[in-house]
Parts: sequence; C-alpha cells; structure tokens
Amino acid sequence: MQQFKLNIETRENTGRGVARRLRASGKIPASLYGQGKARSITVTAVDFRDLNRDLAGGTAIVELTDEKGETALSLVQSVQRDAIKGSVDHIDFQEVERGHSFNTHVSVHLVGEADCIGVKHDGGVIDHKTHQIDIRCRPSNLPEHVEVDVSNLAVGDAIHIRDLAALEGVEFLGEPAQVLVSCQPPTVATAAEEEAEAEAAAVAADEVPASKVKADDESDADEK
Amino acid sequence: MALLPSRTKYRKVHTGRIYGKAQTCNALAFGDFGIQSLTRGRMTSQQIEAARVAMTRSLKRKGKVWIRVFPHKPVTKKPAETRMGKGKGSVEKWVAVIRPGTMLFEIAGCSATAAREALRLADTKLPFHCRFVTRED
Repeated sequence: MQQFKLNIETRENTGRGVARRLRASGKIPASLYGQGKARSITVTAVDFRDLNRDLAGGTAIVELTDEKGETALSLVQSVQRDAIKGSVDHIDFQEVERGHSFNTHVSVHLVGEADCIGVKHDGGVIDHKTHQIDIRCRPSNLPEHVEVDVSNLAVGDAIHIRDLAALEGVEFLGEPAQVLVSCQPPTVATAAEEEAEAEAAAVAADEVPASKVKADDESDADEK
Repeated sequence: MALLPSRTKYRKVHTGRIYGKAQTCNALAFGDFGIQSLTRGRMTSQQIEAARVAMTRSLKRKGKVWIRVFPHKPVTKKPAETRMGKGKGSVEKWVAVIRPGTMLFEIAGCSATAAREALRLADTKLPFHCRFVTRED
C-alpha cells in the first residue's frame, strides 16, 4: 500500500470570494469528509501538485496533518479542474479508518497491448471500455491500480469483471458481466461506402461533388 | 448523413447566448486522445460530418472515433430579399452549442501520431481553436 503525506489548514471561511482569494494566493480550497463529519480545509497548490505527480493517476491513502498536528487517513475522492487552464479548483478528501473497509474506485491499466493476438494477427482494435472500477477494501489492501493482461485477447473476445484475478482483501463491486476491455474486428469499407463518404466530404466542405462536375462538363460539351 | 434530432418538443428556439466554460463533457471519457475546444461558438451538423469523414479517412478505418457533441439547436433563416415580419424564418440548419473546454471528438485504437494527424485534419473543418489532449494529461 502506498501512503503519502500532505499538510492541511483548517478553513473557517467559505464561499466563492474566499475560494477565489485562496486560489490567487497559491492555495486550493478542499473538503475533508467521512466518519460522520465534514470540514473545510486548505491545501497548498505546490504540495498538491507534487502529490499528484507522485500518485501518477493511481489511488493511494494520503495522511493529512493539520496545524494542530492531528492526522487523518484519507483518499483523494475527486479533483475539480478548470477545463481550460487545467488548474485545480477544489479537492474532495474522503476520510477512512484504519482496519475498516470502504468503497472507492481504482483505474484499470492494460498490460501486453503490443502482444495482443487479435491486434497482431487479425488487425483488430482494442476497445478499453471501462477505465475505472469500483472496489471495496481496507486501507492496507488498497491497490494502486488493477492490471488487465490483454496479450491473449483474440478478435471478438472480451474481458469482464468476473474474469479479473482475485486480489487479496479486495472485492470488485461492479456488475460481474461488465466488459472491461474487448478486441473489436477491423472495419472493412466497401467501394460503395467509400464513394458515399467521399461525396459527403465534398458536400460538407461546400465543394461540388466530382460526379456532378463531370456531368456539367459533359453537358457543356454537348451544347457546343 | 448529417446529424439532426429525430424528434423535438419545439420546432424553433431563441438564439440564446453562450456563457461560461464547459462544466460537463470537458474531459476524455471514451478514447485515449481527443480535441477540446478553446473558444465558444456553434458547430453545424455539416461541420461535424466533415470532421468525422476527415478523421476516419486519415485513420484508414483502424481506430475508433467518438463524436462527443450533437446538434440539438435549430437555427432559422429568412429567405433572401424578404421583408421583415411575417413570423420567424424556417429552420435552415442544426448546431451544437460549444463552450470553451468542450471535448469534441475522441479517438482510440491507434498510435498517438496517427491520432494527432487525424484530429488536426478534423480541427481544420471547425470554426474553433482546439487543442489535442491525451489521457496522460
């Protein structure tokens, strides 16, 4: 289990104006909830950037320490980002208790994509349908991510949640029949489809279709 | 085939204004690569189709393409040389309302180089400034 540390400050004031001033001063407004209580906190933007870099898209327990020295184990539940700038606007931390199970979601990583039988021999396309799955586990058993080996995946095959190798102390909560990844057959275009697409492209680009240009030329020649 | 809704509650709608940034549909949800709008405006069904064709032709049917926008909004226009009045014009086209940050198209199942080129070609069909995004971002 990976565990990281982060310093927090308790925040008394709330609201849009307060949050904006905090962001301007290099801090991020955040919430810490769980265990039947919730409180507003502040995190330094630089510290959270470093933490995010260390997490590298994985899930991990973060030990939060406030100004009084009190600690709390937590998960980064969600991060709100500005859609354009990419800067972090707000963070949700969910408090977890040592030795008690909790629900969370972890990312699904594919392994052996380059060696996939369906892609290598039949020209198939790997369709990664589920990027995150819900799990239930104790803090000590929290996996960073779930790895799925797709090297033996043939065209038309799929890997479901029920096919995942059991991890110690981890319960997969999703529907057992939910598809995680599949190998789709390659799409082969017929000549008629290609022609229709070419015509659609020409019309969409406000051009005269090639067939019409030809017909116009012929009619001009006839007139002459 | 250009996209348009199969059934709508009202035939014509007000022009409206495009305020704010995209609060939803602003991140990659299906594919590994995508293009995100950086400015605001309208995207017609013809532009969506032109971009789709450009992408599928560039990818040579290898990858998978997702269109994340749909033209829900009807835009009307009065015929040329018509006096004002006599009611609102007829529906001329269907558009998608695009805010800064909206994810427009996504691609998976191909290399980053192929995806970048396909999405660059799609971008040339659009009236927005867009940026290429990947899941690693």
